[in-house]
Amino acid sequence: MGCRKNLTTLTASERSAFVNAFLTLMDDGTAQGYADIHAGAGAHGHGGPAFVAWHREFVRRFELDLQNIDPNVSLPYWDWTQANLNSSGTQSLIWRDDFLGGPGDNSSGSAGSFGGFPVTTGPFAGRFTRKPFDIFTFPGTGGDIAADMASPDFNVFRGIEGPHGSAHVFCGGDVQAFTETCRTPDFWLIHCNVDRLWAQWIKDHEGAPGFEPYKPVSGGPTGHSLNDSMWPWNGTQVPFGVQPWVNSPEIVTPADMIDHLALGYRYDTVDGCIDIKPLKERIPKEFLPKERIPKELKERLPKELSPKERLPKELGPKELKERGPKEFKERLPKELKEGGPKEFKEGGPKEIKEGGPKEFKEGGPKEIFENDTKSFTEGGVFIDPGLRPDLTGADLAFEPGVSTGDVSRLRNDLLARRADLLRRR
Amino acid sequence: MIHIFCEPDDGPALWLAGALSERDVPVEVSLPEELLVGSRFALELGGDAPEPRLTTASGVSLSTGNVNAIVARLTSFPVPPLENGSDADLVYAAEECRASLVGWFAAWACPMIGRPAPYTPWGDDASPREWRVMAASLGLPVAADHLAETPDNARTDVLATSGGCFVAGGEAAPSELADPASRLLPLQNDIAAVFRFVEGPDGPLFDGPVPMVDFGAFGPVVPDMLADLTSP
Repeated sequence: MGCRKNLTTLTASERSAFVNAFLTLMDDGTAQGYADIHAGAGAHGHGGPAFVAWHREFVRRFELDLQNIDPNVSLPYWDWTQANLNSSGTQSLIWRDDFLGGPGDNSSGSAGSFGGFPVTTGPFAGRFTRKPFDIFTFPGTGGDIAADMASPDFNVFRGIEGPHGSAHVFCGGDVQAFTETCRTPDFWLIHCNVDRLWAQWIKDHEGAPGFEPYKPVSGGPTGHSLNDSMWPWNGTQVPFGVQPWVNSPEIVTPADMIDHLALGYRYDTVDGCIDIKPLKERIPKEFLPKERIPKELKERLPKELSPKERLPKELGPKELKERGPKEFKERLPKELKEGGPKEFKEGGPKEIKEGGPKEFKEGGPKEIFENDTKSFTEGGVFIDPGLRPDLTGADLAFEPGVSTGDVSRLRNDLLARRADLLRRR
Repeated sequence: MIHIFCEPDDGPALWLAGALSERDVPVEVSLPEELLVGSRFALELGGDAPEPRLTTASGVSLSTGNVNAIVARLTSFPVPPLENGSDADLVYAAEECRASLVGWFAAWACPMIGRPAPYTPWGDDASPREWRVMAASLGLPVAADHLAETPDNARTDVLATSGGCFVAGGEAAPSELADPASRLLPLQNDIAAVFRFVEGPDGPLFDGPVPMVDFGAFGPVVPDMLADLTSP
């Protein structure tokens, strides 16, 4: 399952893979196709409840197209409430030439629509326009988003459509143009972040009584109620039909969009990018308690230590369960009432008093030592690969000392610690 | 050592941790809930000064002897890990823990950014309106009201520190912004704070503080400042 990550934590190879796949979809006309659909989605995917649901499907399909070019690509997101600079604060990790390129170049000519100037640096040079913004600034809107996220009411949450607009306006030019924006990578990173916020909002509030991850259930504008089918995938021709769905309609509803995990992707901040398996599956078999005492040692255990044999026949588990505490106390054999068998009162059987069986004194039975050695030396899985920190950041050539991979590792470490603390609760 | 309390998705805090590591500054990052879950959390009173201490479940120890500064990025107070009890009991326990945590953070004599306050875990217990009143009492021009609709390009955030005032990218703030920001800083009781100004007809107007500072927006200023605190 792919994991969508903050653009600041992508490795150099992940950045270039995304850029290359995107350029391919620009060159083969796919991105323009999405722009054409978006141009007709004014009422279908905007200004109403389906804003988040319609765009979730739209973004998911585009990501699948990217993955057809390169299966390792997942859409990154742009958290536009932050500056997204490198660790020394000297470079913008989003507007750098190895990723989305710089702002519009206003050194010559006059501004086009929405204050746009041609992008002249980076991999998308000459392909669309942006405002000539300062790369060290950013749209902000964190306070507005926090207020929307804090409410468990979907109708409040969907107010994030407003701050999302600020991100479009900040970029300006084609990114702000409703009919052109999908040709820009900026659009997809903005909407990936919107989608992440919906996933996070559901996770934050799903335990609240009466919580509704989407509404209205009915009575909304066409395409905006929970079980309405959405244009263009339903094949309707208002405002216009889009192939192939005119011929082969697909029913996609907001209800289908609620569980992003069921759609096949995760978010680093919502779900974590690490597969945390149950403890039992993470520990090699030979380290599980049952397997740690070799059969040979079990046979050598003194009979006094075998609970089964120590328990009087009339106090078997079945009888204890049926009869309850009072009867149990009354039926305790004298030696247990008085504090246990003689051997325990005197400090345990001879073998225990002397420090345990010979094998323990000599460092453990041979089998244990050999099992351990095998795990480490013959390719046995000691740490599940899924639990290993993501070291791919070490490839980053542009961040000597601290890489975005370090930040990613720290985030993953904190997520793992949180999971551990939850188990302790 | 610089100690940071933050959520796993707190990008600016993780950025700061990375930037400090790059400067070879010892830095530890803890989750807010590590204050309460599986930890040894203590505030010893009765000596010359209160003595806050913490040992987290992962073995990280904080005491006045080994912490140079704390960066607190709590968005909410952690709740005690209680399985049983009525709702009223849990609310009571959570309130007690909140009071303990606020007292614990207040007891640290070392520099701190974002010292939690009783009703605002991220610090800064005055509302934007109260801030504007305080700023006006200092003789500063203030915005008439919180200008949520102000265009982004008319806003300027200024990072005020004891070492100077800065704008985006870490550039020194112009004097018309640096002067008011440096006068506001003592009101915040932090070693660094960000204040927002908007364009007014006769110059910048104070609009309010900006909580949960995006450290990276100000370039190397904050990590450099914290690194200085750890220098012998």
